[in-house]
Amino acid sequence: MKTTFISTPTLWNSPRSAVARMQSDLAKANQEIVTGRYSDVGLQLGSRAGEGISLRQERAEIDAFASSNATISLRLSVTKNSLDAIRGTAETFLATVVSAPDNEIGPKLIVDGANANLNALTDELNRSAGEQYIFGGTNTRESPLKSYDAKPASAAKNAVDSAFLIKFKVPQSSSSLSSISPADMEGFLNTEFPALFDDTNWSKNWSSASGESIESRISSTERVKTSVSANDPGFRKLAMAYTMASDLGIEKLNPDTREVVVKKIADLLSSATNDLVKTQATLGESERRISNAAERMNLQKDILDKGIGRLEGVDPAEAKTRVDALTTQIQMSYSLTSQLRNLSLLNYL
Amino acid sequence: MGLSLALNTARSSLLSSSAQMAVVSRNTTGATDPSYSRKIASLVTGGGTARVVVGRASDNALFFKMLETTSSAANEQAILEGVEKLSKTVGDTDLNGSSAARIGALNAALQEYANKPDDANLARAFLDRAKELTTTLNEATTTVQSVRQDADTAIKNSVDRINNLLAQFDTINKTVMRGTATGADITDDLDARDKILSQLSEEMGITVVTREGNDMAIFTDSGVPLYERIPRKVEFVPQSPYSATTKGAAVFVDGVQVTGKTSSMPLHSGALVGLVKVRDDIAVTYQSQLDEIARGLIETFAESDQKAPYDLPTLAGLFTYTGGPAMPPDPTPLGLAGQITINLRVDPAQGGSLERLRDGGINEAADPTLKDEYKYNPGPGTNAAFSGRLFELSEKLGAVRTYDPSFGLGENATLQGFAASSASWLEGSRKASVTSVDYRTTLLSHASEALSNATGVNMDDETAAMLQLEKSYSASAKLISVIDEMLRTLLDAVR
Repeated sequence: MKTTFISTPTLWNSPRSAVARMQSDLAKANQEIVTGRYSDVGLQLGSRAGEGISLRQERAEIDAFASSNATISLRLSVTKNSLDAIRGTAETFLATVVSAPDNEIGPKLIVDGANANLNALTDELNRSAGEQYIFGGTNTRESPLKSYDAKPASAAKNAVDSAFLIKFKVPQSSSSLSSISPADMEGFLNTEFPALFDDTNWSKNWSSASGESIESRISSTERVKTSVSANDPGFRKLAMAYTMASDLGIEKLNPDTREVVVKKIADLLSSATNDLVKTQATLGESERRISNAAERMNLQKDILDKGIGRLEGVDPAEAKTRVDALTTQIQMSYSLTSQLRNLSLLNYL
Repeated sequence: MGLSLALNTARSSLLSSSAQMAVVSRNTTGATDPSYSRKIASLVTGGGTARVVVGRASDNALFFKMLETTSSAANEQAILEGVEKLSKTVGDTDLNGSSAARIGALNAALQEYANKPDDANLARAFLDRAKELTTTLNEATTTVQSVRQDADTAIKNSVDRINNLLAQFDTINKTVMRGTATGADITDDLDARDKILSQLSEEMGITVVTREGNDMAIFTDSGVPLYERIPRKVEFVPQSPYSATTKGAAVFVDGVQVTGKTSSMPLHSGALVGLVKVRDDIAVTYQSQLDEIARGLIETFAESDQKAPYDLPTLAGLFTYTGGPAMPPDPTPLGLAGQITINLRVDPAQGGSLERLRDGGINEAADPTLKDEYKYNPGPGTNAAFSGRLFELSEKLGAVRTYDPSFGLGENATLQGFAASSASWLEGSRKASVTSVDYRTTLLSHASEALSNATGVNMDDETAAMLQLEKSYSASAKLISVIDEMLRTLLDAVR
């Protein structure tokens, strides 16, 4: 008579293979509790594994931006302080020039003030922060301006001296400067002198800065200018004004000619101040955009982290429940196995 | 006379009880052997004698089902082992060791460097990320080729095993045929023959035909004869070492090609099928995806002629390869991912200079009168914060490129996206493989259990049979002594 038949090997092996499987599941569940992620993320996600990688790629990019933006903010705030200083000095000097008395003290005040201010301007423009010359444009490893009254004479001073000599046939130190007419001086100040500060001559004699300011990427979609070049028109006008005031021998000029020069200096100073204000406004705009970008990127970071967590994370409570269930099952299977041992006819013979 | 007949019958009853006891002890010995089938002692009585015929519990349908499931499980298992080794090149997403993650790190380093191009530390960091990327691609190529090599070696071992088993089968088959002809007890030989068949089915799918006189013929599941009167030769030429351009050889059974795309009678299951799939299909596809990534990197970071009339060729920049500085040809050369390397002209450790990353000029025109043809930085001076070239590189790295749709990863993707898709594809294959192996293994264990239940030994059953036999033996022995008594009584009466 054929009834359902079970062979001894099947009977004895049935708990064994099941226990092996449960034990490996138990090990996996334990690991998941500890790490909070799937024990084999690639296996779990399958073809979504690339998503996890992409999210992390984006996260790394945002971290890179956060790090560069910190450096950029430093440079912007140092630049802002320098610009404030330069503008303040220019405004004070403008007041001095306009209110200078007409006797011998007036011109002396102007000349001394201009010398000091030109040196101060040079120092400010040669400022460095974070190992960069911040006014060098993209040429940040070279100091932008050479000192005007360096010994031996700087190229700038030589250019001014030779232009003066060519026009007026005498050097600035001559005693016959009082014979220069206002019209002549006017002509000099409107043509030959400004030519010394145009693009070519400025880059040749005065500044080794690059005309390109540093462009930075502050987020994956925005690029802004984050530095000021010493070749900016405002600085050139200031340099022109200070040189005009200090090196054209105004103390020796006759009062009418001096008048012309002083008027020109005042014009230049106010125009330069306007330019500087505009530059500061642009920088302020950049600063604002950087802080907005930083806020946005913080939010993005949170979203990405949450995304990664959702994709790969495991609820530890659920994993613990699994561990408990598996432990109970394994124990039951152990007790069944030991009971099977006693289920043999031989014990009853 | 009645008594002598009774005596003879009792004698043969004793013999048959002993024979049945022998069968019980054989069964008890083989109880835990999975390839042992239960021997059944059938008692044939007639004409005053009892004879024991030893038969064997067998179920052909279940047996062939088990062979089938063994082959499928072995097939999927071979594929899984190969894919698991390949997926080590992707690793856990948290470790950021995949080529996709390294490209992401390169991109981040490039961004930081582009925002402060005069910082030598950032330049150094960028170069280090680039080195890590080329190392990852090179090592991945090595892993892929070693997987192919391992598969090739495993195929060789499998083919050797098959040839061995066929030789053993030949011996056993002849024994079985001889035993059937002479009427001997061939049940143990039949067990051994079935065991060889199940070992054979692990290596390749087989179909079995039983012929006259218990002869067996074995065919592959595609119909090529493996054993017909004599064992057929299974041939395979292994290759070593493996490089990306090596083409693996096919397996030949009896002169017929049974693996590979050009085979007219290809195998359907068994470890051989899985191994060949890993060696010639999965690993090769993954290698070509890696090669495509390498190509993308070389093309993205290449330098073009910066001076009119812009007639000099585009040459390899930061990333170059053994065939550089010319651009890699179309179609992408096999194994490019193993050849990609950092250009010497950029690496300070090899006499290059880091500034060339920012300024260009990694390449120089062949004509010595042309200077700075490939220089991107216009100056003045060192122009150390020149970011134009770096931003250009960053944009190109994030640009969408076209890929061959035969990769199955879509036609348009950024380089990072393509690399991530490649990782997805691999992990997806692994997940599918694991599921498949689970399924097939379960089927196999069910089939094995069913077969075991039909043909296996139950110890309690045997023990109970043993008790019965003990009783019948003592009954026969008692009978003999009683008859002996009766005869003695008769003979005493005559004396």
